[in-house]
Amino acid sequence: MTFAQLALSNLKGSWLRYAAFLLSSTFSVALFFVYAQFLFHPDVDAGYLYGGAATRTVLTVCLVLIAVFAFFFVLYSSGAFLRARNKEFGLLTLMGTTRGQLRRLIWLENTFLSLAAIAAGVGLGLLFSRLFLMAIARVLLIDEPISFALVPRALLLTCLGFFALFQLVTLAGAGLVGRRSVLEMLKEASKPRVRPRASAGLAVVGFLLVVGGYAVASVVQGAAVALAFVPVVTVVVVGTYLVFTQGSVFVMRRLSRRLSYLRGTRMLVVSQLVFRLSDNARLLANIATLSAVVLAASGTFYIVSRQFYSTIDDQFPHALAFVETGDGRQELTRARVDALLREHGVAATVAADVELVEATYRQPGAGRKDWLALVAESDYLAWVNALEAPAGVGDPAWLTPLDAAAAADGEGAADFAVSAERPEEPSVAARRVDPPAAVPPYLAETWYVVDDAVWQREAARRRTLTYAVYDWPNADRSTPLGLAVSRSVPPESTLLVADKQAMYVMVRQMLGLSMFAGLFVSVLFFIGAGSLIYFKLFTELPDDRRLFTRLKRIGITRREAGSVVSRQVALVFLLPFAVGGVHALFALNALGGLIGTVGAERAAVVGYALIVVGLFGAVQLAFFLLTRWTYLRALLPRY
Amino acid sequence: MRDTTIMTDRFGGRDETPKVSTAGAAPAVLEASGLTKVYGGTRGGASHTALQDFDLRVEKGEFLGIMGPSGSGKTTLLNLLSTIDTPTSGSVRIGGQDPAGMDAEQLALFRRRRLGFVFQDFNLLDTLSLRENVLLPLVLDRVPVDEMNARLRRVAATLGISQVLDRMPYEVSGGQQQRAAIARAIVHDPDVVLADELTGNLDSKAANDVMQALRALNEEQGVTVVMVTHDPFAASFCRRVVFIRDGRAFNELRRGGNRQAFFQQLLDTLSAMGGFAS
Repeated sequence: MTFAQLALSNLKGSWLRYAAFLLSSTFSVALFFVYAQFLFHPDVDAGYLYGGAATRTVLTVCLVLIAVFAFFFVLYSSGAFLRARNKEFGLLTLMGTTRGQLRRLIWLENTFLSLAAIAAGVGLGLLFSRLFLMAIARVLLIDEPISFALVPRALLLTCLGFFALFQLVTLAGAGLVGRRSVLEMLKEASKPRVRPRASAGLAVVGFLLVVGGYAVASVVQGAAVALAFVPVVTVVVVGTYLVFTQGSVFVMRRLSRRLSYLRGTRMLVVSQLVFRLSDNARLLANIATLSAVVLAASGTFYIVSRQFYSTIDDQFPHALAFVETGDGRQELTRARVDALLREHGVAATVAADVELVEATYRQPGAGRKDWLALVAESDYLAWVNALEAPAGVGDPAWLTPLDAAAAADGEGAADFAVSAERPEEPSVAARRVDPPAAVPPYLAETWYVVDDAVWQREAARRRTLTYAVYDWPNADRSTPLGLAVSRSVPPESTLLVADKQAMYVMVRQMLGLSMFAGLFVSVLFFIGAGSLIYFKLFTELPDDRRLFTRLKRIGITRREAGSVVSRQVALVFLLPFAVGGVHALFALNALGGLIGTVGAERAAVVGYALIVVGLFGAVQLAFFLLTRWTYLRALLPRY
Repeated sequence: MRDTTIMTDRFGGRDETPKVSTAGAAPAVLEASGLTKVYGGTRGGASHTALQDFDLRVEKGEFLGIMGPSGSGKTTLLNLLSTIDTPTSGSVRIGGQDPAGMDAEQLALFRRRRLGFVFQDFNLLDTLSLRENVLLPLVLDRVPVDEMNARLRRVAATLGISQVLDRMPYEVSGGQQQRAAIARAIVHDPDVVLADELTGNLDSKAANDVMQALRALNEEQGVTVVMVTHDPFAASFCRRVVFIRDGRAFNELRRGGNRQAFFQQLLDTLSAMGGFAS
């Protein structure tokens, strides 16, 4: 048997142990490859992409994050693999394997593993590249999907990069092997398991720190949130660490003193959990804290993007508003808009025009002149009625026409002076209103409602505009109608458009990509965290096997054994996530305080936070079920 | 009450094989007839007959030893008696019940309610204290706490482990661990205690203590014991020893007088059988 064959059979012999590691590594490689495929895609390189440089930066950051994550994941896992195999290495040394040979063996094993991970990752990446390109085209609202192609540069970077990464970690790990004496290594596995103890004081301090952190996070408002941020996070992180290292053992030991402990399988579950939790306490605390960070970041992102969208809804109450200069509508006539609506199978719920007169005004004392719009009383009322908006009383004001000579003393000649008090000069009574619809850029936002006769007189002497407002259901996403309308006019036209959907598209392109990238990195984190726990579980498989062989002889049914294992695996798997989730919920609630939301809005923020935590919770639950199935299969193959 | 009386009726009038005791009308708690176990041979490989047409009858209150050289089939026999292996042919009845018809679930419950086990490696769970280890069969069966404690006190006192109940297995000596294992094997009043090389991991002092304790349980409380062993010293505590070689019953000895004389008889038989290095 050659050395390479020995390495291969080592891997084959305990493939279940490596399965999760291989899966995570493969997933990292695949994800990296897919991002690289997109980033170096000729179409994207040629500037196809919306947002160009910014998008490229986001994706590059993603690539780097995936690589950094993979590095630490591989580093941690291979360290743990090696520690778990001390007895085996001791045996090999006893049989005369030199330290150099041992290192070569480890190097060979890890190289095989990494080659398998790279091959599988690139394969999986190719498989999903097409899907990814379609998804990203949808997120970025790119009209023509990016063509699928194998990008040599991406392939090369992925293969070489990951190979170098694995080699680096392997060489570092292999160097540490064989430093201890044979006896130490051999004894490693048969060390008696001392029932862990916990300090009640530290456990209570841990709980108090976490609860105190929560309390502060729930109370602070506004600017205080930023001040409290660092202290509260520190306190909660320290508290979490204590809760996992001391609190978990403390609680389990308390549970074992209760009478109900001595009923059924509970005794087995609790007595084993004391060991399992204390052995893995630091890993679990780290995962809980990192879960909280990832969840809070995702949640923050989600909440901020929801806020963006609701701002759009506030600013654009209707699907489309546009202004045409001159008498009536010449370019986007009623007939033409109706035809477009029909073409998209949309029935407008609002279609209302109003005529405006544009003029300039100057406030007393203010040197600058500005634009205003005059609207006739009857026309305005009819329009507002059609929009189903409240007419409003408006602030009374007086408009005094200025003649050109009198107006010339300021920066420029204004048409009117505006005052709140009735002036001496002959003037026109008006009331100042805020238009209940989105105002396209360059249209005056200051509107004055005047008597119909006055309006007619002014309309005869000045430029008139037609302001049209349309609305239809699901204007934000259902159909590209808004875009169709605004694109149906020639670019040199003087048309001014306020298009809700265009705004949505812009925000979505801006946020969507980051969301997309962040989502993948978050999922990567949870899969990595899950496979670390999976791996730790599998290092305990021989112990558990011995235990259940013993229990089987004494007479434990398969169902009982299954439930004993499931309950433990569930706790180890889901507890860090649950703690991280609760941390994140309190953090996001505090974020609600920071952005100054109250009442229903605050409730919405918490609702969004729950959605994010729930989604990742579902991923974690799926991973748990998979792990439990695999572990039970390995532990109780046939009973 | 277990229905051993019915068993007495069924087996009472039977012609008994010469190997089996005819000592009296004591009811049989364990009855094996024609036990055969063949390993391998299913996929064209060589088959190996570990046990051939083996009969055994164990009466209530007996202290039976089974001796034989390595590979004689005694471990196979014990596995078949303890229902963790199934015979190729033949049958086992324990307390009047035949485990052959049970599924895995029923077998597990049967083992933990009707049988007690003592192993060479003690088989204590190292995450549980001695107290918890001893209580395990009762805890799994959800016996009320008061009753559990009463039984625990009784067996712990008999086996002299009352003082160390709250220690973990690695904190006590091998002899104490094995006595705790015996306590666990009898705490639920099983029909029969099956012991496998229970002195194999003990020094001679501890082995003596453990065997004395087991004999006391047998003599004072009527616990039925079937013990597989290599060790003539341990076997000398038995009242009857069955020898097994190449999967078949070879001989049977009964203790008449003192243990020393019985020990010598055992040694003689073993050397006649051959296959023992010592």
